[in-house]
Amino acid sequence: MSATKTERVCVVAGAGAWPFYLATGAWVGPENRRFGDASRLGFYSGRHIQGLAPRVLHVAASLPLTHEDAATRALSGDPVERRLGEVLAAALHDGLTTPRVCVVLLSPPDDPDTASFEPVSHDADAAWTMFQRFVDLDRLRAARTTAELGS
Amino acid sequence: MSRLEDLRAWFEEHAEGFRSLEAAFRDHLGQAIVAARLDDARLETRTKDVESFLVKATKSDGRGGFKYADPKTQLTDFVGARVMVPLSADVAPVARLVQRLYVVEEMSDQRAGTLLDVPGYQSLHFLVRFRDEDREALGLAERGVPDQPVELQVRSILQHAWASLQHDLMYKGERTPTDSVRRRLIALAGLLELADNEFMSVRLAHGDSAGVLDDSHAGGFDVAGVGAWAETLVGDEAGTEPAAWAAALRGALSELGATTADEADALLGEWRTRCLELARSVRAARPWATASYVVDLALRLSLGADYLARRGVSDVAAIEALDAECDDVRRSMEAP
Repeated sequence: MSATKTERVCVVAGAGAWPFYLATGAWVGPENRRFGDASRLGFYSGRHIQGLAPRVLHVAASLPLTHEDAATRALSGDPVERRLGEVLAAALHDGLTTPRVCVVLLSPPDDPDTASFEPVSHDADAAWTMFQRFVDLDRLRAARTTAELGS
Repeated sequence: MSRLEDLRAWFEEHAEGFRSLEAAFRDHLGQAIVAARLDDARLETRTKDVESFLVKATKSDGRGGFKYADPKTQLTDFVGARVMVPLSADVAPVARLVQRLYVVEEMSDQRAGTLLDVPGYQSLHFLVRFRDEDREALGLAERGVPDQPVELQVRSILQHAWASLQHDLMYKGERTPTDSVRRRLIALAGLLELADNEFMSVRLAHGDSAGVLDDSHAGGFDVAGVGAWAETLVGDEAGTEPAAWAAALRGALSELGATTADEADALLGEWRTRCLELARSVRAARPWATASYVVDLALRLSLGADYLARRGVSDVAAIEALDAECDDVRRSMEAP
């Protein structure tokens, strides 16, 4: 009998990523970011792993962060292009200025496909991650503190 | 009579007709381009010569037969035409003109090829035929001009440069290009695409209100006009709409079939008077929403699935996404 494989979550660090996700349903960061075998993203900020792990719906590894790209995509008839354009427009509005970005479209906060759990607190002195860490979804659901997640 | 002799005799019998079709098409489309004041568009035409026809008509299918069993009816490029425009963004106004003028039997956007993430051949191809009323008005039947299709390509100068060089290297050389040569050709396609994009950005930065080949004289309204129209509808301060967004809205309107403010107003229907209210609602969650974005959303709400159909999108997922988005917007506008 084979055990059911748990989903992997890539927990990304960054104070701005969490509110950006809540506002846009997406993550924006440096181009060509890799997420390994993760099917979901998590968010670490304010010494917590926030309590939502949305599903990764689409990854655009490298897009120009320009008003031309944002406008052309946002007014496209293609729903994925439209979402990418909206996210670029939101990133530009937030003051992001890097020339190219990686955009990850995620299941929205209120979507049943977005996994929810109690926020996981981090009590140690050093940050739990300053970049990204991978963790099983089942462990996130069971843990109350990052110490219970193991290394 | 051998197949080759038969085909040669057939072609020579019809060659004069092909040449008269070429001349009629060149005059008709050429005059329309001038009338539309698409001054930077360049039209070229040609009639296939007999040797070229015979080479293609007797091409092997690799299994001992012929690729074209009946080339007289299967080939469609006896008369060909090409319109070259400065940049890829200028292709759309010409395409709109072609669609207005002719019966479009086929249209294939080679830019939307199978390998979207790999640079390469880009061109818009049409198979067009004179409309019956135009054949009559121009007296084409009386002049012996055959009612046959014309193959038409619309592409930018840089797209044409790459296609020509690539074609010579890939198909006219004595040797099959190596993987390295093919790789370098693909890299060059990427370079030229970037150059095209950069030229476009330079145009916009320079304040070229059109941003694209300006067909406002053909009854359209230019980017500045579209921006001002959108600003008025959502109540934004005049002159605040970014040109990039107005240019994108202008492109969408063109695809929807609106090239004047009146036509665009008509598409909006009752949503024309609700854009201000829509802007307030949308900007509560999307503070970045420009006037063009809001008006585009109003067009989606007004036209529903027809918005996508007019823009050539028939994907079920796209229609479902549009319906869901419109439902969300309506709900949020109705919320107290």
